[in-house]
Amino acid sequence: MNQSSDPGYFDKESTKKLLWRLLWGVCIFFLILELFIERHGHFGDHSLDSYFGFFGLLGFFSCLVCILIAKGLGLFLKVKEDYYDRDII
Amino acid sequence: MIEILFKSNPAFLFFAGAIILPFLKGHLRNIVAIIIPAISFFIIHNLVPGTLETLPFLHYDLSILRVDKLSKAFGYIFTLSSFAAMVYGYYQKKSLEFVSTLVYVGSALGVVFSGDLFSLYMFWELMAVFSTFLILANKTSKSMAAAKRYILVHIAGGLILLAGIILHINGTGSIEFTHFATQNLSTWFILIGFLVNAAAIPFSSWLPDAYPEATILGGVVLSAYTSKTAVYTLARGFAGWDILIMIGCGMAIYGIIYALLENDMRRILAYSIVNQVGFMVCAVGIGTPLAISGAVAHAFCHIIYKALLWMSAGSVLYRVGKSKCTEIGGLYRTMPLTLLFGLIGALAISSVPLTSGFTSKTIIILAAEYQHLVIPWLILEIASAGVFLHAGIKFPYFVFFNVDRGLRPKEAPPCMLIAMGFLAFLCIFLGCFPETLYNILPDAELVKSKMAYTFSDIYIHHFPKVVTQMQMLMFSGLVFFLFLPMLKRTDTISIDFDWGYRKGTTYFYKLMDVVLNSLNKVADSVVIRKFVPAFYNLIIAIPVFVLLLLARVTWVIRQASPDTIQKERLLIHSQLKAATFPIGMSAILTLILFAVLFIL
Repeated sequence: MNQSSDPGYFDKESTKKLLWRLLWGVCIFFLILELFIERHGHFGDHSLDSYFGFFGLLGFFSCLVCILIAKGLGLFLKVKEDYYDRDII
Repeated sequence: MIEILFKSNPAFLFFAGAIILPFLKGHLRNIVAIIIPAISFFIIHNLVPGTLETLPFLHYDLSILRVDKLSKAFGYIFTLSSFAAMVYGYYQKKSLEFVSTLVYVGSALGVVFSGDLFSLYMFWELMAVFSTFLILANKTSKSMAAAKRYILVHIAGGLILLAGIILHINGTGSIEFTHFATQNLSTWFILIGFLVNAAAIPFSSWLPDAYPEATILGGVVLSAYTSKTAVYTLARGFAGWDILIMIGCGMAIYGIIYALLENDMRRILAYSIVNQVGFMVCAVGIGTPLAISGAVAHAFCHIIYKALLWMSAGSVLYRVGKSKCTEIGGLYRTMPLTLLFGLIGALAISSVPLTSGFTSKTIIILAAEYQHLVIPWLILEIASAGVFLHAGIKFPYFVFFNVDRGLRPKEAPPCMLIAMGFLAFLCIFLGCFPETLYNILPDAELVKSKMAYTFSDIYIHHFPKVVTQMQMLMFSGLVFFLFLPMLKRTDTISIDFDWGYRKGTTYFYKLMDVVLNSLNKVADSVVIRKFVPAFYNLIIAIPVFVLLLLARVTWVIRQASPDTIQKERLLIHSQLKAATFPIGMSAILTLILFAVLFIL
């Protein structure tokens, strides 16, 4: 029950470090792999999505924007759990 | 009569099961609950597309059974998923949830297989009513309140649908449910009625409001039918309506943003239903045969992996009794199988290669590409990256990893594991061999001519697609872990469209109270307290003035003394105020009035 004396496999610092390396490794691997494949733009040969790394960047930035929007909206939208239970009249 | 019913719509088998079930006990009851969807699956398999069974009712012929490839595809998945849900719910000791589930799923099948708007509406309302019991059965004050709001929203949506149907029948004279080609009031009402059930924005908030308050089995069951039945009705009635593209894209993004804000694991999954249904609604809006097939394929796969995700969340709730990310975590130690199955569901919803999401979502995105819908295409791609963020990583991470809170629950019961294992297998099977799925789509040949459908074709010949997909997902995952501090869960809920009817109405009431009551006060002081007395005095003053004028003439003629004048003046005043004139006087005054009128 005590987490400090009995850290699970995924709670160990070494595992976390390994997973971080794995994540970066996989990202770079798929980026490099793109060099060896032939692909075309979905909207003509010179459309934006035909450039190298488009989907990686798309994934990265769209998620970043989503997080930032969510964070920003959270300032206005997040309320306490009992928000609707409170009477306002 | 009964024979006709059983021979026709598969819904009635479910209804019959719901009637029998309360009289059965123990294992027999649970086994019957599992067998009914299984039998229905084979009944639906044997239905021949093109079949039409009618039933005369009043002056119309109700098409109680209409079979085509579209309805059959939904029939397959509804029975398949309810079978899995019944296996999952084997732990149930009471029949209430089974009975509501049977009627609910049965009515969903009823909607899918009925060919006219009358029967569709009847099943539609049955669905709303019996799904409410799955929320009520949780028996907490929160679930009671959520169920109340849920049924109110659905009754409102149902009434709008009914109004549309009545106007439509009145306008066209036909009760047949086919594609609506013209845009007028009736079709717009029907569209809104359908969109309410599809949880389309701005009618979306009932879903994340109600589903997370349902029972464990209820959440699993609810996740599949209401919104997907709506997708079916939209696909049949409103394919190609451009507004649906916008609504769908909006839903896809909205689902992501709200899921990111959410703390409750089942509410995260509820928002991701809205996100996924957004893909389908968008596909319906695109409206080409390929897009419609894509919507059906995606609905099919979505029901499987979403049920799987709800099941894994349900197992956690069953064992831990908690569902907030701020209260759970580190469950991978003691619930590894639940984690494994949940993870497969999470990968499938994120359309990771080798899972069903990859083979179904791609059809929709391809359909957008073929129509040169660049912006919707981009939004769908962004949304698929976002799905990985909130459902693919956030859900398993916060539930099974994150902080170890010292929770050491037992692994989920066998019935739950079996059901999850079955669905997890389907997720991977459809991801590797989607031909089985493509064959039952409305335009199977078209889909198979545009999409790779054998394992080698998808993962070897079309390897670049796999690379770009993995690239997008892995970088999304990278963002998640890089910005994890920003995603830290807080013990909060988020204001959604339901603010309108949960708080907005109260504010509206208060506003009306202030406006109308102050108006009332002003009216009281101006009209009642000032104007009316003044008017009253005026009404008295005019006759007094006239009478005194006349009296003055008589005083001059009579040469009356000041005492007499004073006395008579007072008499006139008092008599007029009390309106007590001698009869003679009144008669004379009336005569004068007539004379004046006559002269005028």
